[in-house]
Amino acid sequence: MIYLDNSSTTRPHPLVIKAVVSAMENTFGNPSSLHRLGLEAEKVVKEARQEVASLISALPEEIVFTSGGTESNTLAIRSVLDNTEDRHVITSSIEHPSVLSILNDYEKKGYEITYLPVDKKGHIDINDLKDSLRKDTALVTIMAVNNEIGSIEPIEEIGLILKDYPKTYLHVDAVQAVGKIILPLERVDLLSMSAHKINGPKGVGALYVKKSRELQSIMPGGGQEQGLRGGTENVPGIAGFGVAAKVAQEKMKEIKILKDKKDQLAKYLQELLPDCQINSPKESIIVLSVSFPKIKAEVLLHALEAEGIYVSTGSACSSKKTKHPVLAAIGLKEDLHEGTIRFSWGWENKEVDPKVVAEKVAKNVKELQTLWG
Amino acid sequence: MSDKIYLDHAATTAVRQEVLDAMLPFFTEHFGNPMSVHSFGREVTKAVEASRETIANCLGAEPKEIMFTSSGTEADNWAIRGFAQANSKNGQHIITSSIEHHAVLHTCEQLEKEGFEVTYLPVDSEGFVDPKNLEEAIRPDTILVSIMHANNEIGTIQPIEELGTICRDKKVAFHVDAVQSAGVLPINLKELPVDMLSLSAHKFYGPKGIAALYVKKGTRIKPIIYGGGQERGLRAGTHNHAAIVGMAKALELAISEQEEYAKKITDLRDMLIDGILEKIPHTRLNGPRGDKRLPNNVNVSIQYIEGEGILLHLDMLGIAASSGSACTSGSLDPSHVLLAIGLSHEIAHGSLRLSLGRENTEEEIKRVLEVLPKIVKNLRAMSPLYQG
Repeated sequence: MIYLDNSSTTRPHPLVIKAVVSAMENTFGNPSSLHRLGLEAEKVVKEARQEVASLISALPEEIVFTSGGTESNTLAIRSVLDNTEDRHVITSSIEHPSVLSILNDYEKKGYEITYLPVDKKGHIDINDLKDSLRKDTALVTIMAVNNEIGSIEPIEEIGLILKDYPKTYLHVDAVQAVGKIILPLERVDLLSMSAHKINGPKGVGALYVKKSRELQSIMPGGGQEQGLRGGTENVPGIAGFGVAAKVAQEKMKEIKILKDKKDQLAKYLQELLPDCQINSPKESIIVLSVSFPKIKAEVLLHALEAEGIYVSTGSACSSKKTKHPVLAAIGLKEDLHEGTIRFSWGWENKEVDPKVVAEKVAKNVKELQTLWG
Repeated sequence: MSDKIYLDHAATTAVRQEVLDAMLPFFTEHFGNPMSVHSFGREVTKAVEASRETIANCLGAEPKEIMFTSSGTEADNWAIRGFAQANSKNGQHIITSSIEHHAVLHTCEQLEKEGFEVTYLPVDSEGFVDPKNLEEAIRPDTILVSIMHANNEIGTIQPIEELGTICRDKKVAFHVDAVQSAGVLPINLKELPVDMLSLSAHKFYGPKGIAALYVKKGTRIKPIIYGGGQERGLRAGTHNHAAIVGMAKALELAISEQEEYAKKITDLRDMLIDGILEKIPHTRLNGPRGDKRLPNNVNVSIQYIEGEGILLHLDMLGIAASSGSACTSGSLDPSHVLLAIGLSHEIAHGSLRLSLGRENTEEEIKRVLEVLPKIVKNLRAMSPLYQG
């Protein structure tokens, strides 16, 4: 079994499962309770907060736990836009649906949204950003790493430009970036993370909120998470996130192992199938998006599944829709959209030989091409 | 539970072993993303949908009417904000009660800032909303009424059926926060005139981080968390499927044992209430007696001392209790619920909530009744307010 869909979700690390189970069995208290069981649960949350903060070199008090990346993105965008008079937002055309759909909603309410285009490798042009910035730009929201093709956006340069716009918030969707690249937080105000993309549990994520920035709650309740996010803390999920963050931080030193495998897979695929097209830019760490002419990706996906290889046809979050906005944005010819597969590498693939994967893919692609050709 | 006695089940409950066992395979072998089309995803989708069906069956709902959220707070926020935003052109007036959970009250306060009008119905000295007051408060521009099923601090069970019928007659939507009652009291949505209902797994021995909002077919509601199209486009975010499986298992177990469980803890509850009132002078019960009180809730005000002082002493003896709801226990303000039933600040400060659960025994209650009067006596001896 070769699981190459790590951008959709990852297998929880054994130590993560241990932490989750231990929290359910031993520290089940409500962290808001004043008795010992409550304090013990609070301690678990505190330790996890430190680990998550450390992974992105932030302060523990800058970490707000949420139910996942999507909620983090919603919290970031809504709490900025609902509390300012400024009504202009800059984003890119290849953001995650959780960002684009909420911005679409604000657009309907009369906000102006600038969607920066990307080049064929998925990068925004920093000059476009410069030209789009206005006095009333409330928010710039750009993802650090794209989920479908793995492109890395120039967050540091964006930050440098925004130094001249102190009022404007910079939000970074780093769901695919955390644990893979170092994130330059200097001018970043808000940053979204998700545990299950780094071998942590599902149902838990975080939003980094720069200390000097104040946010308004969008989910009020019992005052948890500094009043920013009500709801009894998901202590087991948070404990698992903490362990996952710790493991991810240690493994980041070896991230080249995964990138090499991704590069080798690209190389072998191009050798075996000269007509395939690599959509991912060279710098992509774990994601390899490849288009194969004259095949339907979903058919290939199931053929590969029969061989024990698990891949995806796009991002999991848009894989049930027919449109491919990211592929369209990078200018991929439309007849290739339906033939696009995403291979995404993770720590469980350390022993996987990219050549074996490439050979199996090539065999199946050729069979399908003859069938449909 | 050896010498430790846990009496804070209204704050949270420990996950049952059967629930944990049901969840474990979904951390290890079935870890996929339900949105993925390969078999990892499909297996998980199947488990999520089976769980949705189980929960729907437990509540007398249809699977499509069950939406998963990350917490009871999110479910409450969503019901109120999501409904208000989707229906604001029909009116901008909302009715709730003054003893709701903060997830409801703070959301209403936010909506007030955004131009909505909110009426906070008073409650009587036992915490009941008077249906007549509701009837009178409903206006032509009222779109939503949100009243909790059972109060988290004093255990008052509201006349949901009667309140809901009034809403139906006046064609106003009715949301019920059932976080404290789900799994403890029977809830049959086939018969209850309710349009939305919140429930949270960790209050009935399920995992934290998972909850649900029942949204009756035909009820218009806008999402508050946007994105990848999960939950029919109404609540985005990768499903927390292991927790969803755990929630279904927990609710199924709770419902199957509900009658027996309610009987057992009602007896323990009354033993505890009677014992405290009998053994400790200058003490009052907050909330009603009998079957209009949550079977697991005891809330007493013990005059002349601070609830938190009692808590600390109980804690040293291994007894976990609460001075109010867990969510506000960090705050120094007296409980808004106790003030709403007419208690003075001073008496509200001396309140203690003991909430029972399935593992509590008669022996444990006897032990509490043995140590609590002594703690109170000692604290009162140090209190300048107490004249003996």
